[in-house]
Amino acid sequence: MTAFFQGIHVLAVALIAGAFLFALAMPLPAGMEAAKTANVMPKVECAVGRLAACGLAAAMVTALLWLWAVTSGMSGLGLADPALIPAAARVVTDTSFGQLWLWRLAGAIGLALLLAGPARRIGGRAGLALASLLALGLLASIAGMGHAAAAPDRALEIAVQAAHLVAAGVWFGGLTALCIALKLAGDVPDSAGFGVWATKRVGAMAFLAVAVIAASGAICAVFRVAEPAAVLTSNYGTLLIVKSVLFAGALMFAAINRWRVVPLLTAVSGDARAAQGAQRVLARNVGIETILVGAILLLAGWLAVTPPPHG
Amino acid sequence: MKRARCLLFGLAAMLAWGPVRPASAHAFLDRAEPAVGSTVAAAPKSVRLWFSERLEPAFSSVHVENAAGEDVDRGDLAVDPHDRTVIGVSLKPIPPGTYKVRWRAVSVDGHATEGDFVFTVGR
Repeated sequence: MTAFFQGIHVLAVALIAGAFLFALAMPLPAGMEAAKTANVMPKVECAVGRLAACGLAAAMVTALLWLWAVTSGMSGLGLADPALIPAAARVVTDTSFGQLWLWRLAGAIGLALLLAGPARRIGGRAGLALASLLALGLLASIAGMGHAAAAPDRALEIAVQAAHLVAAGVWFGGLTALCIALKLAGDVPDSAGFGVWATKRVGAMAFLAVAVIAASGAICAVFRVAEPAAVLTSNYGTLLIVKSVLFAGALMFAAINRWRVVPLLTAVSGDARAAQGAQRVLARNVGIETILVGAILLLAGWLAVTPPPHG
Repeated sequence: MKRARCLLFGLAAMLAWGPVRPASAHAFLDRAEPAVGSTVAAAPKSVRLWFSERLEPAFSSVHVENAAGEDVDRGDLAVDPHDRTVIGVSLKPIPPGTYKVRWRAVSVDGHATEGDFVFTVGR
């Protein structure tokens, strides 16, 4: 139960962080006149604001459920036991998990206040930057509530885990926002040009994120798994393998988009019908990549409650 | 770019070959005083347990009972302020006999483990 709530929580916070960063990194350049005239980016920002609001609501609900499940685990009480209420209060006041949970709640409330503007649209780039920072802080701080917090070299492990989470959030949230942007720009006269530009921008963010995910993931695996053979004989190792396979799958779709679909879209931009077909392929591939990265984040929640092979 | 790559490989190599102590994510009993299954000549004044990870004292517990199942500890569980992996409880004066220590350890990442062991006070 803890794994499920934690996984959904990671997913929701990653969505908020990545979506804000997407909006922040996406000022339209010169040459995107059709997109500018059609007000594509304000529409995208509006949609991203709504997406972030939904993500925040989900993050707050799952944070409460996560606390409930962790309290049940710490106290040994059943999930429906009324004594869990005072026990949860003790978790919040007397444990490292609870204190960090409280700080994160304060951050989430700050983010909710930022999102409460008219039409839920974040006000200006300064507001976007502040919201991005808060959301990234919320995402990174999850590292202090898992295995890394109990590690012998916890400062280093928390830092590596935080980098892993932030990079995964940037990838997932950026892809989700890209899906929305591609859909909203569908009716713009130069939608193919917008699609190529937006995919390249997100691709640049994702490239950096993937490098950080691969490096920090390898380091985390070294921290957690004493014997390489244990990867094949433990539940933790099985989850790591599944996560790696999903990661490879997401990379494959990213590579297909970057080196096949985007060049194709650029080449056929003069032919409306061919461009539409290529855009559909691009949107489908981005959708699949988003689902795969989302599944990786859900697995991250599962890994956080699975004991690594004991060395 | 080349320098960044070298740095990354260097870091990875250091981590791969360095003295890495993997996190178990659950607190396992490392050792105890009196030792697990031991026989001691004199009645101990306290029982101390060393775990593999830092503990949350609010949800961890140690109980010591005699052969009749009666608690012989004073219920004053405390975590060592200098080392949060060590937990202990003081004992009432106990006669020779076999005693069971039941423990429940909650590590700082929220995972719980539990177990028990016995020690004997000789005549």
